[in-house]
Amino acid sequence: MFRFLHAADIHLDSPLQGLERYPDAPVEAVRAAPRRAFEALVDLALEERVAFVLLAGDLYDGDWKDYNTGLFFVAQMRRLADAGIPVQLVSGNHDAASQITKRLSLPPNVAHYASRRPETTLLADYDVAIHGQSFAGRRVSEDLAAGFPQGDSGCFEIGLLHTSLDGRPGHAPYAPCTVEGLRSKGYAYWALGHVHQREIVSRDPWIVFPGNLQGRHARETGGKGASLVRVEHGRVVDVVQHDLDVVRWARVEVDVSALEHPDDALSRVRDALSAAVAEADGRLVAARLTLRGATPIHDALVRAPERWIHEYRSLAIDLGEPGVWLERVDFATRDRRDFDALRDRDDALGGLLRRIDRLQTASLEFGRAGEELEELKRKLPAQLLGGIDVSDEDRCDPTDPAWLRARLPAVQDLLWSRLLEGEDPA
Amino acid sequence: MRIVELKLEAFGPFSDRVLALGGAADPGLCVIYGPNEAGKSSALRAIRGLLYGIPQQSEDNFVHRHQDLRVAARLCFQDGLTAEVVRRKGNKQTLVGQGEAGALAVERLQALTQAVPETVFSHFYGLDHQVLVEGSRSLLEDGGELGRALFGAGLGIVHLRQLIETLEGEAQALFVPRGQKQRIPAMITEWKELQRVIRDSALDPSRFEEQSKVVEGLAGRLAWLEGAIEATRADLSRCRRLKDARQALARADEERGDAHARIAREIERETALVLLPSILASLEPIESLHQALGAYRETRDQLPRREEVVTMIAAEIASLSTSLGTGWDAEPVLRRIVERSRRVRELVADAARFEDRLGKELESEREARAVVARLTRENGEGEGRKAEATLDPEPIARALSRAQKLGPIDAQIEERRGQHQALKQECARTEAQLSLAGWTADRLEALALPPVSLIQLHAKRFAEHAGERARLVERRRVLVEDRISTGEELGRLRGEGSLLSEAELEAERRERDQLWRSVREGLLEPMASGERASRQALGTRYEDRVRAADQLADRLRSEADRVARGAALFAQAARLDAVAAELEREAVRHEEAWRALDSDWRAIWPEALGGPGAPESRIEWRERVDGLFALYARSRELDLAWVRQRATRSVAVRGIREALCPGESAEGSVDEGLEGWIERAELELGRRTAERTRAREQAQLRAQAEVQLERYVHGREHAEAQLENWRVSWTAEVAGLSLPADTAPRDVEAHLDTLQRLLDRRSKLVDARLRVEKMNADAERFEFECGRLVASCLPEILDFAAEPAALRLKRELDHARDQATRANALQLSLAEARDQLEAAERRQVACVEDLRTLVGAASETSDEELDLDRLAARIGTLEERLVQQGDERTSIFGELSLQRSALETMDGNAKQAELAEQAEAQRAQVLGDVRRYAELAIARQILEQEIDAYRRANQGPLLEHAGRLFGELTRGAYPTVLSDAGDDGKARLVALSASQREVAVEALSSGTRDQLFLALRLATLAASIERSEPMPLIADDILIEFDDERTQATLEVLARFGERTQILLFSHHRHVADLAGSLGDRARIVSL
Repeated sequence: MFRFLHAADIHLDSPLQGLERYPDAPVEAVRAAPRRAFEALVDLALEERVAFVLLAGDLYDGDWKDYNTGLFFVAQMRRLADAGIPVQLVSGNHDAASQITKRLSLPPNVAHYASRRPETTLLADYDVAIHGQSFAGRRVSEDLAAGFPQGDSGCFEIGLLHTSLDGRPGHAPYAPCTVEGLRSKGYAYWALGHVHQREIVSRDPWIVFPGNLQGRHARETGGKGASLVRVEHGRVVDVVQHDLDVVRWARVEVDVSALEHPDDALSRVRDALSAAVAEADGRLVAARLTLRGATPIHDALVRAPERWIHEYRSLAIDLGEPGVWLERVDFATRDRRDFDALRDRDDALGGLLRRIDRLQTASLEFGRAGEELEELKRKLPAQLLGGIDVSDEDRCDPTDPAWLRARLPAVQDLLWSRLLEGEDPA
Repeated sequence: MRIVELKLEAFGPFSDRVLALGGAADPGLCVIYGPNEAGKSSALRAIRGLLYGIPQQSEDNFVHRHQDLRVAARLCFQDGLTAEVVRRKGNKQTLVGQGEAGALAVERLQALTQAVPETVFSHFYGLDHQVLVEGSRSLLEDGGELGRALFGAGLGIVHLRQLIETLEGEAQALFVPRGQKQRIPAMITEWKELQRVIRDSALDPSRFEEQSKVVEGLAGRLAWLEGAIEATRADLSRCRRLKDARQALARADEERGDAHARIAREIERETALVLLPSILASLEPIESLHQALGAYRETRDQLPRREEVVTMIAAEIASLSTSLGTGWDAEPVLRRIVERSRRVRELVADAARFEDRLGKELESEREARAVVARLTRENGEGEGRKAEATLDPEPIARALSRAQKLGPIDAQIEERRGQHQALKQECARTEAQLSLAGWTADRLEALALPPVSLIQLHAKRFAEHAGERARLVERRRVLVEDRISTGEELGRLRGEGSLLSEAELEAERRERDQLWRSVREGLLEPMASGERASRQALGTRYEDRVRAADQLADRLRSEADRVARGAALFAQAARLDAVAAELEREAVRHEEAWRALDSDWRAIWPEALGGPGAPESRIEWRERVDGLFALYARSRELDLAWVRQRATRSVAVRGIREALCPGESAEGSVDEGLEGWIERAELELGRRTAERTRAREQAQLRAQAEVQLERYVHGREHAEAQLENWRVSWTAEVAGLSLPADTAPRDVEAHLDTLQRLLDRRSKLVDARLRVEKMNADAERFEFECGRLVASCLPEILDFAAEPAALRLKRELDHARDQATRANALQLSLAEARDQLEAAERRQVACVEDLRTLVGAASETSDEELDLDRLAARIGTLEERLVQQGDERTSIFGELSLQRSALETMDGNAKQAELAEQAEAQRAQVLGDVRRYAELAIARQILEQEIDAYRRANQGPLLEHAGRLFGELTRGAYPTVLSDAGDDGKARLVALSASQREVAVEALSSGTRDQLFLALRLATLAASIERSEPMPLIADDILIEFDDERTQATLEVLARFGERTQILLFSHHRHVADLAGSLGDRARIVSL
């Protein structure tokens, strides 16, 4: 019997995205989160006395140039070397572009698989054969698995590969392959990487995405970590997922539809954040808070969003250790008023609402504002707008009609509250 | 929708209160009047609560509990549906209706409030004084910008300009094209800088490898150097040891020679010494003899004197014995008497002491008796004053204390009298200035004079009337000028030719047509005889009329402009005449009002004062009369205080007088001063107090003297008793001495002294004799010992006396001892020299051995190399090399430390990652700001676009209606409003005056601007009414700053407006309700 650890998509030193700092935000708790998650992975390997560790690609971020990251990795590998634990490593699409990958001298316990063709490592102590192949470049469009040797050695055979398999939402289709293709190789376990959401694709043979080690933004919620695999008599007995993330991303939604006063929402938010903290099992929670519902407090919320965001941040700080970092607060509430009826009014208010409504479909003619937004776009560096894996939800382009249309509900709330609900105290 | 009845079942201060606000057919204007605290605000909130629900935290629960709050209403909708609904406090289904109609009404009301949310209702159907003022100010600040004025009125908001500026300001705080300091560009700059730092400070792999190589190279060099230094040190050590061995061998040779020489010297000196052993054998006896020599010499010197003393004492004893006579030789007798002498001597001393004391006691007693006699005598002389001393000062002290507590009352009374006089003079002056000479204060104060506020009110009304009159005169002047101008214009037109009109053409055509009908009838009927001429004449007349009509038509066409101008001038003249007639009527009304006001004014004044004069002049007069009344009151207060103080002073004077002169009459004048009496009382009080003190002191002294005398008498008696006792003792002691009883104490003492001396001399004689005998024995013993030692040690001096022999023995002993000491020292030195020789010889052997070993270890060592000079040079070279190698090692070690430190910084740290996190946080903030900026910019743009679109779509009808309303509200002073292009090209509101002058918004008075804003709001509301079922317009005290005329005009406009929708006008001013009453059945008035 032996155990091994399977992890992927470490993305060492990749910063967590979207965490705008504010006074008393738990900056220290977030610092170097991917590194600490990786240290936790090594700790787990030592604690569980695993036979070997598999790293299925994307150890680094492609454009990250600081060699210190590689030195940190080497230091962690030496810890495993001291315990006699070998490490099997394939490069993913991010690693292929990394200068660190090319220059780093790895300790002898680390086997880095070549990219030209599949390689096989035999671990005689455990009667294990590991077949793996690294990415040669950032984009690999061919089915690398197809070139892997046929499993016929009679020992416990593992395929180590960075792949999107047959396609996963939000992930580039690199090294595409199929479950059938993998199954046809006759291996006992396919240790895959690239897909950040953990997934057991198949149990016969075992085809596993362990997910990434540390969630990096608000779309990578839930527990993140590695898979601990137990093998007895040449068969996988169980695959246990271990959460190793340091910061837990969470989407916290609060229904405020039944509330009469915005202060009443505070206790709801506190309860929801507390629940997220409890679920995170002692980790810092990076939360995207969304308030929802048709509610009488909608106007009060959108009239002074900064004030309420500040209140919620204070409330998150008051929750104490390990703490909550409010990544963003979305006011997805709406008033109970009937905007369709209001748009039908043949007066100034109806005209204004109809104008906003028309912009959802008509061409956007913003005159001076449009020119200013063009100018703003020119001022914004492309790298600042780009980010990694930017979703529609988080994308920012002040000249893109779709992005601008997405602002219209907020604009309508802003005008309604400022025109009819009085001054904005914020 | 109208509220026919508002039922305040349980709300605010109301319980089951029903307000009938009108019916479907009744007038829509309802004035709800209530003074302060009548519940007007509660009623307003009740209507809001009825329509939109009672808030969770209602402030109207001070009579009824929260959960009991209820408002009901009978509602009437446009289609005639009338039903009652009830709103209760709660969360769900708080609005219920009575029956089927009620349920329908609830449904209608909910649909209505759904289409008009509460916030919209507040703005659109709510109007209060604050909104009116702010709307007016907004018009002014906007310069009458038409788009914003119409859009703001359309939404019922007054802060449109401020809102747009706020949106603009917030957006510009984030970003301005070509701006650098705003938040977004500033953050971008910071982000770029951070990116640069991340890029520049990233650890490159090649840099790490190079650094590793540098460290390795330096470490290798350092290791080699350590080996070289070790070799140099070994070489240096060997050379130093060779050198040391060579030097030690030389030193050993030298020391050996020295030791030999020293041994030879010491042996020679030992041989020269002479030792005396026989004398050294008697060392102790000789030393003892020498020590006793001093005592021997002293004995030999003192013996003759001691023998002489013995002789002298014996002679003295014989002399004393002779003087005492017989019977005193026996030693025991002498001793017994001497033993009693102590007691006798004590009695002698007591005799002197007792006699001295008795003398002193007698003297003290005598002096005490003299003092007592003197005091007794003086006391007898004081008997005469005893009567005065018994006069009690206490009554005076009490009266004086009471008087002094009053303070400087004489001055105060005088000051008050002066103040009172001054006040009376001031009153008289004021009365004269106010033309009230001859009036008394009581009469004046009894008059019912009007208060200043009432006079001010009349003054204000007079001023308003005067202002109105001036305005009327001005309007009449302008009118006359316009009329004259119009007449002159008409005259000029007429001078250019007769003025045609459409009416003339019409009349000509009617005549022509009439003639044509006659001609046609003639043509259709057979001509009778004699009718030809008449028909021809008819035809001629018809032709003339046709021609005339054509000519007229032609002229009308050719003189169209002139005709139109003429017609306009005629119309204007007619309008001006009508206005002039109205002005005349208004002047008459004004005159009547003036007379009524003057009558009211006179009615508030007492007739006794005569005519009241002008109100303005009476305001100050009345204020000064109030001042005069205050002076009267002050005068009365002063007078009363003055009388009270005088009475108080009189009581004090009477008290002092009674105390000073008891039994005499204490009555005196009320104006008698107190200070003189206080002085007299203080003098008398001092005198009485001094007398009483002196008498008390005298009595105390006499009592003390008598006590003293008694003590002295007792002391004298005690001294006398002591002396008597002494005499008895003395007699007994003298008898014991075998002396006569009358022997004087001095003689007894002398006898005792002689006996004592005899006893002492006898004792001394015995001692002296014993001492002489001992001295003789000591001398003999010394001489014997000396002889013995000389015989044994130095027989050659046997013939010497004891003293020189002893001295010679001592000298010889000292010499023998010195020789022995020298011999011992030489023996020790010799042994030391021999040890030194042995040590030198051992070192010599060892050095030779060491040298042999060193030379043997380095077989190649030549003799030359063992040369000390060469060895020194070699050592110098090696030391120098060692220093150089050490310096190089230090340098390399330092460099290696630096390079290792540099390498250690490349330790896989997370600094870059942390910077990247910081940059990501900044990026998140920038993106958030970009979102906010976009929303602000789009909101501002949409708003401005819609404002412009709304203006273009509604400008015509809204301006036309608002103009009409404005004309009515200003009573024709501004018949309409127009749009005019401003300097910036934007359309702006202007008012057209009655004289056709265009007046900008900024030039309007604030009151007129208020009316303009009201006109715009009403026009907007009217347009809305046309399109959908309206809700009641709630106007709260909007007429608060309107004068009666404007109020009347506004009420009339609202009354007409109320024919189309319900107007609920709340007011706490009675006159508003009164003026609304003048509208008759066009307005309903409800009192709270």
